[in-house]
Amino acid sequence: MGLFKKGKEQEVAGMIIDLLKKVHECLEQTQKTVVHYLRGDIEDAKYSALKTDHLETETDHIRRMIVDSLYRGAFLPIFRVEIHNFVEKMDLIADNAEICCDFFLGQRPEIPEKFKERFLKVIDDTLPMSRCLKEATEDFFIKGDHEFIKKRMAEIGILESAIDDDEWKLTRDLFTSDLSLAAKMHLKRCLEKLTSMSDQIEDTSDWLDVLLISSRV
Amino acid sequence: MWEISAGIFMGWSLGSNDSANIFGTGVGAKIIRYRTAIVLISIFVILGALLEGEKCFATVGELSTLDHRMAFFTALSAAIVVSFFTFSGIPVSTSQAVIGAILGAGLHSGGMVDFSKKYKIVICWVLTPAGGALISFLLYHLIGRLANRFLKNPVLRDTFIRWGLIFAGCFSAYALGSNNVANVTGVYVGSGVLIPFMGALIGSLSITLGVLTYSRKVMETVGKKIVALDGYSAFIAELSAAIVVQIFTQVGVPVSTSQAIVGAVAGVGLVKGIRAVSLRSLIEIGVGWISTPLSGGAVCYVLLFFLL
Repeated sequence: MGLFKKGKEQEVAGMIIDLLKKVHECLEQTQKTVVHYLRGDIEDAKYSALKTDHLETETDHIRRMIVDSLYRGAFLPIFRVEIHNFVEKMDLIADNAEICCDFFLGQRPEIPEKFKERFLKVIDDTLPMSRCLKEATEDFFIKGDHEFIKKRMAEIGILESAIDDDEWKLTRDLFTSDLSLAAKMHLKRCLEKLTSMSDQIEDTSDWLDVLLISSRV
Repeated sequence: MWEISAGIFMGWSLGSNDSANIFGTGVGAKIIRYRTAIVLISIFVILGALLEGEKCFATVGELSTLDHRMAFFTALSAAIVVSFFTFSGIPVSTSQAVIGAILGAGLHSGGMVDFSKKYKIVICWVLTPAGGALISFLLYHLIGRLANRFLKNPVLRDTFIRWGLIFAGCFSAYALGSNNVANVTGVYVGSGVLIPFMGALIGSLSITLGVLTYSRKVMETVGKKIVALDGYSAFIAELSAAIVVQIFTQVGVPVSTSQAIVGAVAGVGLVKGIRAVSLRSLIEIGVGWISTPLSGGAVCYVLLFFLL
């Protein structure tokens, strides 16, 4: 019997990094789903969506293991709660990715040809945000280089602002187009599903900032 | 030898209550298992008592000249007061109860109390929480700066705090043994019932008995109360309290480990602003300085008046 529950923190840190990898894979599959859908390859889109669904299940499993380890004594109490919140936020990114795929395949929004590239751009721009979050989180748990982490978080903020800007312009263009109101509303919801992932990444990045602050004495 | 039974009762009571000051935070936060905590406390209490316990025997013995039976009643009175306050949920200092009981015994016997020694003890009582606060305030900044510079990785930082809490807990247990064993068997050493080594051995074993048999509830309660304190603050508070108690062991005065930890927590609170300091805890300390020795003295006086 050891004095401590040995290496629990290392174990949790490793699982958090694994979780982020899975979340990133989830987003990549979501991107593929959207690409296939916009090309009209519904079968391929279904296949990618199924993969997203499986990856989301895996992230749920990892999240549960992290929470279990945390409340069995990994990390000190207050920090433990903050890590728990951070992990829940991360998991929500995958949840949003799955919901987005479900939306495309369940509701089959009809996106006019002239808007397709702009819808695709939203998910394309989300992936670099996820990469930044992954790098910042890995650094936080492995090296703790605060400057590097801050830079990555700033990049996330810039990318998210750009997506917000695109979303605003696309919404304006949708509502000033000749589409029916029903189509406009449907496409607006579709856009919201796509941007929900970048919103959640930014939210998670904000929590990483909280972790960064509380890791200082 | 039947006289030492009251001392063993006193030691048991002290061990069951004061062990919460040592590892309450660690057990509450699941940093250390309860069983590991009580084994570590027991080892270091015995070590502290055997290596340095004799330093405080002299002060307790010098206060008053007691015969064997009076030593028994003195220890019994202190134990009754400590147990009563503990069961009532009121924080109590064993040191203050014992000193009060000795004074009560001295007054009953008529003029055998050396009050000049009492001033030194009272000054030390006041300095215990004040010293705890000052040391924790300074250590918080000093160690904090080093930690921020060299321990940026949260896993490393966490490991440092965990080991720090264990180290501070062991040091606290050592300080408890070296300082408070005189509360348990000091009157017997002073009255010649026990030689100092046996006093330290029996005293520390009886404290250990309390730690091993009846500390879980108090430790878990205290742990949950202090758990809101972040790990680093808990480590600093624990370490500072241990340093203060150990300093008073060198001075030869038994002091309250509970008041040392409350003072140290207040010191950490001062770092975060005066509002973080619990005024109630500080008032309780002030009231304790008067009520505990008075109660110890009164109970001892009454016992001796009716039974001797």
